[in-house]
Amino acid sequence: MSSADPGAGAGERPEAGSGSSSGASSSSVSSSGVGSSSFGAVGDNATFKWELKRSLTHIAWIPVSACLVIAVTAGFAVFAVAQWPGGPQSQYVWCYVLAALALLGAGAAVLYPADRAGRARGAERQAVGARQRGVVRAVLVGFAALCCGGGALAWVDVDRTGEVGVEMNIQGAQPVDDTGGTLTVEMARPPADDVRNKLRLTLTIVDDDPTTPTCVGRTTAEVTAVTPGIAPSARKVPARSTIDFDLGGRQGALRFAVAVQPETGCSMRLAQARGTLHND
Amino acid sequence: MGTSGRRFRTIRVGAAVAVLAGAALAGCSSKPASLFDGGKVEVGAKSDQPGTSYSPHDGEFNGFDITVAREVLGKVGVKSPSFEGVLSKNRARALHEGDVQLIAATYSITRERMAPKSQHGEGLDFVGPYASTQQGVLVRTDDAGDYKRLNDLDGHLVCVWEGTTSAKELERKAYGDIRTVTETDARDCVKRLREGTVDAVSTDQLLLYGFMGADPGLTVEPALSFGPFNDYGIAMSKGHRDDCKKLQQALMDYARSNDWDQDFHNNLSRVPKEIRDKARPTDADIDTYSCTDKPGNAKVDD
Repeated sequence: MSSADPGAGAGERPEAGSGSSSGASSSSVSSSGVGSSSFGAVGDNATFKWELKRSLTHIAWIPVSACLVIAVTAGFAVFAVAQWPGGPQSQYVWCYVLAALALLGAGAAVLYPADRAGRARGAERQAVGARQRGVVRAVLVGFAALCCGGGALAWVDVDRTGEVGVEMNIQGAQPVDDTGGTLTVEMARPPADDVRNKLRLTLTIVDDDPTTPTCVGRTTAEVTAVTPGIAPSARKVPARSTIDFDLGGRQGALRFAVAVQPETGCSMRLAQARGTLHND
Repeated sequence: MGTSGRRFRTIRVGAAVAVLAGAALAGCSSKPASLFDGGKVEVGAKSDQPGTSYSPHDGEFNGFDITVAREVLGKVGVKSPSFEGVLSKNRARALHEGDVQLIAATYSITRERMAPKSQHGEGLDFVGPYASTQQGVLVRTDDAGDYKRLNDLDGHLVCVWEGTTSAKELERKAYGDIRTVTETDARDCVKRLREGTVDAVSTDQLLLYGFMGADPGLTVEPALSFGPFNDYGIAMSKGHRDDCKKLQQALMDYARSNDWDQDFHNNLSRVPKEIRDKARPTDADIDTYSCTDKPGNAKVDD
């Protein structure tokens, strides 16, 4: 901001007023220019007009906005990684795409030249070209800002309603031989933010000894929901299977009994139980 | 330079570009050559297992494994495959080093064998099963009927050979009172049984019925079967899925037909019908284990 300095300002300019130089009882002084302000150096009726050194319209708003979008996108990315809700990567596709578009759009706006150099053109054509380029850059910044906001909303949506991976604990004596055996698979009570309507349970039963003839194709398991109110309550499944349980509004811990039924002579192991909470 | 000179130069440049492009495309092609190109395939087989995979004379092979290999290869256009003997412990290496293209040698399908090398497996694809069998016990015919349950073998000496399912099974606690002696191959165990230095031999039942068919002095105890089913497959090194799928379809067609029954009976005539029925694969079995990196699922009725 520039200031008025009637005594030393470079742009000192006495404003036309009544008796400004005739020793009348009131004087009006207007000053503009570069320099620090000075008060009380002139008469009581002096008027100071404060003006900007450069108009706001001359500030490079577009690159500033673009950099702001980049900073906000990067900041949100850091926040998102720190607060990562988990679950399959596929549900984050929109977040990734929109964040990438935001960065690309903002980057393009910064790098897009404000004027084309190296060509002798008429002043009028140059002005038109600069205006057009300004519009393009402004559109790019707007697009980037929208993408940034959209990416953030997509992440928030996944955080609130998306799929959440949960740890499933396997208990019981393993391996299970051909007389059969029942294992317990438990899910601890999820945090309040991770509560969903359904649980997708993926079981992987493998040969206890991978060097023996494989029995995977001849092994089944009966999965029973021990916790009440879960549907289906029981289901017979093959060795590698995924079952979707409707939790019926239940928010606490869950327990399932997995009765592994290997064929004659086989010895099997429930190697993995993976749980995913979801709403779909 | 005249017009004709420029034309010749253009033609030369065009030809060079075409040749380079062709070479580049050929180099980029990731599709491996078919194992069946040229109509000749070398198949590794065992030479000491009468009934399944046996070589009575140099260069001559017979047995159910050999018949199955000939039948399915015939269905994909390979009319006269050549067979050569391989030891059990060298089967995977023979495939990976290109000594043979296929192995048909009572080769059991296991998770480790079918897993890719990147997953610490042996990197083999199987077409199978073409037959399945549990473990059994072979005794001298004079002793037949003495062993009705596995417990009847308690305190007796049973011969097994290295790397077999029987050797692992009989090590289990449930069979702790059965004494075992481990030899290097089937021939040694059968020789010791004939000589009377062991009381029994244990391995896959189908192999034992093959020995029984070749020697009347030996008998399989029909009541003694144990362990998981061994599923035999025709093995190839990974990277030939198209060929594998063709052989899979050929095996499905073969196993559905009466030819499978007939060939099984011709090679393993002493196998009882009950065991033969269990040995026969279904389409679902073949689909579960063929041309895959890990075994498929059992069919479950909803």
